Amino acid sequence: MGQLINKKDIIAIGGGKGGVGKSFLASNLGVILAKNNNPSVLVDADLGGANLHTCLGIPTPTVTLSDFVNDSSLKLEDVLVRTPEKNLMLISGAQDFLGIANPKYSQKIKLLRSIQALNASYIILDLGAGTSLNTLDFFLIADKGVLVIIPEPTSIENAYRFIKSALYRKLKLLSTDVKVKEVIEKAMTKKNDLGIGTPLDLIDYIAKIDKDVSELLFDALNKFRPRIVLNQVRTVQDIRTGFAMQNACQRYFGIKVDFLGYIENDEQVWQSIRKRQPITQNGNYSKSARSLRTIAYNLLNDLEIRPE
Amino acid sequence: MVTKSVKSQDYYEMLGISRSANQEDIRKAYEICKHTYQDDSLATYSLYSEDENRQLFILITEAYEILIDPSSRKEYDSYLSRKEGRTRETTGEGERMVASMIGVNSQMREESRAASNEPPTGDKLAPTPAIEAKVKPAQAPELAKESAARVENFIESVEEFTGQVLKKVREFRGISLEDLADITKIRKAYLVYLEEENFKFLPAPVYIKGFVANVATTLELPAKQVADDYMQRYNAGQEEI
Repeated sequence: MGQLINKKDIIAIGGGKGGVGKSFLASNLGVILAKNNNPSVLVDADLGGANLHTCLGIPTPTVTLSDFVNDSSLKLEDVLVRTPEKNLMLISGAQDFLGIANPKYSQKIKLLRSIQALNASYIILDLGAGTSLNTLDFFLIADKGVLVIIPEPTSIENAYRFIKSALYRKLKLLSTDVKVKEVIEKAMTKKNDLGIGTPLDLIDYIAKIDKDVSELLFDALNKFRPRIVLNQVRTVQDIRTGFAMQNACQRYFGIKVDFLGYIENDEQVWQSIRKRQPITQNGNYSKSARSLRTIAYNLLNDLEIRPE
Repeated sequence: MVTKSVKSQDYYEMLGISRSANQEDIRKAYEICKHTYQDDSLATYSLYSEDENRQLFILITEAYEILIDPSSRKEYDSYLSRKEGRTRETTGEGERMVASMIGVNSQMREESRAASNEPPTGDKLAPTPAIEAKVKPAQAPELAKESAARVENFIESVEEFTGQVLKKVREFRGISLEDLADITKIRKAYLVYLEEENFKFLPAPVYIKGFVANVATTLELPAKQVADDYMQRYNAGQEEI
């Protein structure tokens, strides 16, 4: 990576629920991008539960994000680790370092700035489960945010919660008016006394306080464009669930969600996970490997799949 | 841009399609909506209550039924362009929502009423008033008796009530699709899909079950058994990849 790269994309992989395949997708995206001659960095941003190195088949790194956060003399480049893939580097997450899961605000800003300054074409952030403010902020600074979902009630519920939390966090960060902030905070709870159910209700409500702010927020709503990937797909019905979620998000949240694709629940996937080797690494042409490539392609080109 | 809740959306927006969508686009969009708002839908149960879901689905079905039919779509399009020609005046949304629960094309009825201040009559697209059952007693009594026995024999021999069986019984009883549509108040197209078991184009299962029971009762068949058989076939059809 001798040359300085100007154009870069930060891609965040989240999803709310644990065990849905975030690290699986992140590691494979990294491999696919690297194989296409894009210098890329995978950042294990699952502070407190990091295991991206395992997905890539490398031993627990000796330097991790926690070293960077705690040692002000270190640069983020100093904690980069090589992977079996030539163009792919890894920044490992904090293993079991108590406290780092909740870094101080100043530490967080330093981390975010350094991530943005990394010299790579693509930076992939593998986020942890849940909707902590850290996770939401990582998701929001990314150029493209991807949610990994499996066609099961809990995963879908968590994905919606994640979308709502990220969206409200974004709206709150955008508004300066204390009154507006208060309304947004109240709207977060499902049974608020303002009668606000959906983000669209919220913006309608804010329009009564301040028309300009409500337009600003509406604009932000239109620009908020999370991507979804459906993992562990078994039936055609499962795939339809992806389109149905897209449809529901449009109506309920008022946002456009791109459905990047789905990954079949085939045997090759779990074999690759057991082998601790990304399925896309060694010319695998199974259905799921091909699906992953389609997902990467759609992600980079702002495309999505359509119902047949 | 203006915030648009479902209540202020036009039929195209409700289905999430462009004004230039073709029949296939409309069908596909409705397919997805069915999957989105059917009972127990994974995609919506945590966002909407059952009632909200049902109401949304009724509104969307209304949009679909108007747009899928070329002649009613044409009429709706010209209504839309008339409406957009006028200065945008919004009508009582809540009122419209209620109106839409009562019958098809409330959107037009409501708007034209608001525009002309007239009671909602004379609308071409409004559902036709109830027509008396038109089961034809056309055959001579003797013949009718004989054929009635044949029908009963046939029904007794049926092991599973399929779409094809429904069609056969309907024909035995001398009821045309148009008559059946009049009696059951189910769109003719749906009746055809029911008989063909063309599940793809039918609405959510809860509606299909209602349709089948309704048709069965009209054809003097055991409604529950028919509906159970039919839904079993429907479910089997859904599992195929």
